Amino acid sequence: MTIQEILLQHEPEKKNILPAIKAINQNLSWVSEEAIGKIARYFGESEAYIFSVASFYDEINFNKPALLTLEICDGANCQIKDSDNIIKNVETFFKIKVDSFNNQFVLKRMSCVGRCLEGPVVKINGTIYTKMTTDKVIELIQNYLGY
Amino acid sequence: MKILTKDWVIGESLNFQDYLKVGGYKALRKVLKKMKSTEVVAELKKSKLQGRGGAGFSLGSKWEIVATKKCDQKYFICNLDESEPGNFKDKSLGENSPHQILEGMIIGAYAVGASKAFLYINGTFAMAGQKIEQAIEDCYQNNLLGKNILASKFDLELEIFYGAGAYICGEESALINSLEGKRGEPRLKPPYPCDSGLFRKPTVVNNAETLANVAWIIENGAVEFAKIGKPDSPGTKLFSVDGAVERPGLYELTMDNTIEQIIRTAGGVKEGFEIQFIQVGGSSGRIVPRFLLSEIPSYSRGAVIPIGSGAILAVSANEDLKKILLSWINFFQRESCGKCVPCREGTFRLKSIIERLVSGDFDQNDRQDLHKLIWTLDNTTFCPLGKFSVVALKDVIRYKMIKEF
Amino acid sequence: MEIKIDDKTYRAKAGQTILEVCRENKIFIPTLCEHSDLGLSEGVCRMCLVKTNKHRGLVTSCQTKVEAGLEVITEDFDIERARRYNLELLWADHAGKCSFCVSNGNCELQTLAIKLGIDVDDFVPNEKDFSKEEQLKLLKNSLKNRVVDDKNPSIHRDNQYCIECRRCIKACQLIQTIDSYGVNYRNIKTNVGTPGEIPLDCIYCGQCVAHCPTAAITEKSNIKKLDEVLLNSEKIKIFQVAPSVRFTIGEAFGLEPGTLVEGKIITALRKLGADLVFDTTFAADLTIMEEANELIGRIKKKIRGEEAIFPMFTSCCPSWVLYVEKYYPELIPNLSSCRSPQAMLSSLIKTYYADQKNIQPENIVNISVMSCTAKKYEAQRSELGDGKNLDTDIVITANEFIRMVKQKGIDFLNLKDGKFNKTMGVSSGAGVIFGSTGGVMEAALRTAYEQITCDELGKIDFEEVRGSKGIKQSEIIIPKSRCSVQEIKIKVAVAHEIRYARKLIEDIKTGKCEFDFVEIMVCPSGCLGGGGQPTPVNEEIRAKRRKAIYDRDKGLSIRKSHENSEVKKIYEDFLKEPGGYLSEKLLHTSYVDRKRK
Repeated sequence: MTIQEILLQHEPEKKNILPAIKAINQNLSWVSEEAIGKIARYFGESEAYIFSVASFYDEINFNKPALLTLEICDGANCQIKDSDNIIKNVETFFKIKVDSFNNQFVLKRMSCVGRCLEGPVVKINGTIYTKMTTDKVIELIQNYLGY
Repeated sequence: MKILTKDWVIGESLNFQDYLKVGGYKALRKVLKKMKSTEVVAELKKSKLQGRGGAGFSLGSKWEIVATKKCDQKYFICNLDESEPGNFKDKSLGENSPHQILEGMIIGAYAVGASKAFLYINGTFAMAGQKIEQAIEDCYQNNLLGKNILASKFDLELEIFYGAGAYICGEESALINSLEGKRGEPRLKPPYPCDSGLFRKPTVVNNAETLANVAWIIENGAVEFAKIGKPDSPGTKLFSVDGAVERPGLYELTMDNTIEQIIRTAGGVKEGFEIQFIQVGGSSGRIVPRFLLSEIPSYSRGAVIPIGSGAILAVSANEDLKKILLSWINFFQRESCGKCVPCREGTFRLKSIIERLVSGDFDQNDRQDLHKLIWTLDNTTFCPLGKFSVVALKDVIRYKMIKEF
Repeated sequence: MEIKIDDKTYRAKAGQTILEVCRENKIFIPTLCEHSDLGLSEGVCRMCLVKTNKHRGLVTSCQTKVEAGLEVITEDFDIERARRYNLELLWADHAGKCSFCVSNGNCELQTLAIKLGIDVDDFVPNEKDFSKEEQLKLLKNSLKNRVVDDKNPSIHRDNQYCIECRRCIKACQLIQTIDSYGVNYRNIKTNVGTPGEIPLDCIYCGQCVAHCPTAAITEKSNIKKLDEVLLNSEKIKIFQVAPSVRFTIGEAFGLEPGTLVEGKIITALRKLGADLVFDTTFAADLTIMEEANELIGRIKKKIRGEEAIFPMFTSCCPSWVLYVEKYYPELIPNLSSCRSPQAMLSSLIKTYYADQKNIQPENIVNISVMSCTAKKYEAQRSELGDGKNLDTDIVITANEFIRMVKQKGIDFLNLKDGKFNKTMGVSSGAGVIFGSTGGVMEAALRTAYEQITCDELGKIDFEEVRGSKGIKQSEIIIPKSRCSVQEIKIKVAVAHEIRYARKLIEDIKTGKCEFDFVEIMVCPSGCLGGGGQPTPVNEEIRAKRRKAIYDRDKGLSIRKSHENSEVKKIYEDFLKEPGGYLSEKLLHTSYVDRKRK
């Protein structure tokens, strides 16, 4: 869908600003500068305002999506199920650091999503995986990256 | 004694027909056919039902303030943003019995005179969101939402609203800002949402679990509800129990149980493990050392252990407290909205200090800074997140659990 | 009502904040994010926390309104701690940077840190830890993206100095309704700036510069460039000084706002290496000659029933011109074709003056001392040159001038008063009032009236167009006279700040009101409130500056542009007549449609 088509699914009211931003982010995997401009004009707000709102929320992505975005929960409940070690091991194995960016692989920490009983929890490209171990995560990553 | 989960089936969700079969929407019918809105408010006030998002504020009092306001537009909001680490009670409610929440919302909106309602749900709760969307659709189809509900002349429009990833949006004024298409930064209080909330109109914001109790109270009466649990903390509570217990899970228990009893309900301490401490309420919750396990967590004013959201985390002696401390601080640092100096800068500096604690580089300066930061976060922040970020840390110091401090 | 502050009783009005009452009574409360120009404070810096008997804990005095029976404490152990610790948190990122910072000595954060005795770089790991690569990430700057924006000629931004006070956002939003800035991201990554860190592309009015408490937003500095020029003995350095800066520069040296320091500025410039110092106010009179002529031309056309475009808008404010080009290009024909005084003077220096004194124009360097950041943008407009070289070479703001004077150790306060070079250094009161909103209008009316009627003006002061009101309107009746067979009514309007200018434009466009001549200034109260003027600034300071400007006009014997002897001379000797061939070539300009498609 185009940005305009997605916008037209929402009435230009204030309560639809965040839903519209989310919809564009979900549909196109990122929110571009062009999208910010279009959203701003559609809702009658300035671009600075729309970007200010959109950039507040964790979900919204402003870079062309990497091949793989891996988020690992670091909440206390997953921590005592060893999620911290999964983060460290992934960093070591793939020679990548949390929050550093390359267009292949982005590694982030994630806040609790309420699936503590099935922890450790990770999210890959938006899909949640539960009961993870270092080995399982590394295997999943390798599958996603195609090797 | 079960109020919330009495009709739940493990692994299944109560759809509209199922809900009706177990007596669903009888309370709503009773309210719309036989009760004036003032009577509904009075009943809920008499029940002493307290907010189960964590604050424990009287639901009836909130409803009363908004109900007595003369205004052209009022709003009713259900807070299902549940983002406190270790909590999954509202998510479970949404997945297993969405209609329980909706019925509470519709009754509430009627009681206060709101014609528009929103259910603000955590953006990652895809399944719960789906179930709730279906439930809303079913209500509209069956004249339980929309115009002239059950021929009572009461109109209510109800919409689901997905969050986009920010813990602070669980705070009612930040939630309202988020709904208004703004950054989810908390607002200055006063004015409180009851006076000036969504789009500056009188607004009620209630937690999903709290609302799920409303139908039962209407059907069985406030007096019956007040008999359950403790006199100043009545009813039951959903406990999200996790950690070194045999059967981690969601448990509904009356409000007069000790922490020991809650642990026992979850199968007791896991075989071969010893308890280091229990945390009650999530990452912003109080630490309960072994000698306080006989306390009853509740919403009572003088409770030694305030129950907060009711998450119970059993931390075994195997766990490195420093790493868990880092996990708590990491969370609040990441979730700080960034508006006020003490929280934005303070949580960041606190995180650095705890990281040095974990890596073994903690020194005299760090100890000094630590106490400065705790005081600053506890007393000078714009909103309570500053206080939340140091609750557990203060307990760690109080109980001398880390020698470097 | 009566309230108590620190056990003393004070009067207060309903609707006032505790901070306002304290300020009225000279009780000190530190602030960083609050500013009287910018509406309701957001309470983000936590400097102004106080205790009251009606609130639990500490509350912001900038947001808490007074009520009957209120008792406030502004100093105690907790309040001191709150201020100190929060300031230390802010200072943690700034410690050690002052010596090479352009705002050193003129920074609100630094001033407060000095006042509260913050002299430690607390919260930053000790030197011994720097060897560990891991520890470097503890410095906030390496976590937060460092954004430096120097892509435009007027405004320089560097977020390493930002304290996220949000003043710039509100200045741009509230005063100019342009909304260039927002607060982006969250937690420690919170950054106040443009969406997606794109380079600033606005009207460069500099109100963000004027309201920024630190060096996060400053004017684009031309001091280095100027220093090089001043060392070049082969060039002839010709300075010009804007009308309003001579009433504001004294503030940086401890003088009252509005103190006239014209003479000292001239002497300081000569000490810095100026060969000649001219007065932009002279060119303001020239602008009036040309603009009044243009206005009268349009009016005469209207009377004759020919097509003429109304209203005519002034064009000496480059920020306003840019606003029209970017947002209302359809109004370009309404803009006066006159160049600004700076542009006119620079143009004449490199032609008339160069000719007279037999100097090669390429050897002249025109430097102007201006109240405004937008003048830097104006100077590099390609229309304002001869196709090869620009007329105005370097623009420095009043702030940059002050910095240079201090850097070179010039004892400004004890300088003897100098004088402008005569040729283009004589000015009238009408030129002086260009510095205030309503000034250009009044100056033009003084000349237009006498030129139409050939009679003398009875009352020189046009009070209806003076003052700080957002939009002022008036109808000037020019009576029948020996030169004008009929009565002419000129409907005029004056607006300052885009929020008011915009409203005026919309009303004009929808036909709600009609005007012949409109003056627009983008900065609050006109150039005297410009982005390059000394800070701090507020309405009280601007009012003092305004009064000084009009008092000066009143005290001069020549108060009308057309009575300026040097102006008369330049027309006689060179330009011949307003609107003539040479005027058109050297004193008028054209504009460009820059609307974003």
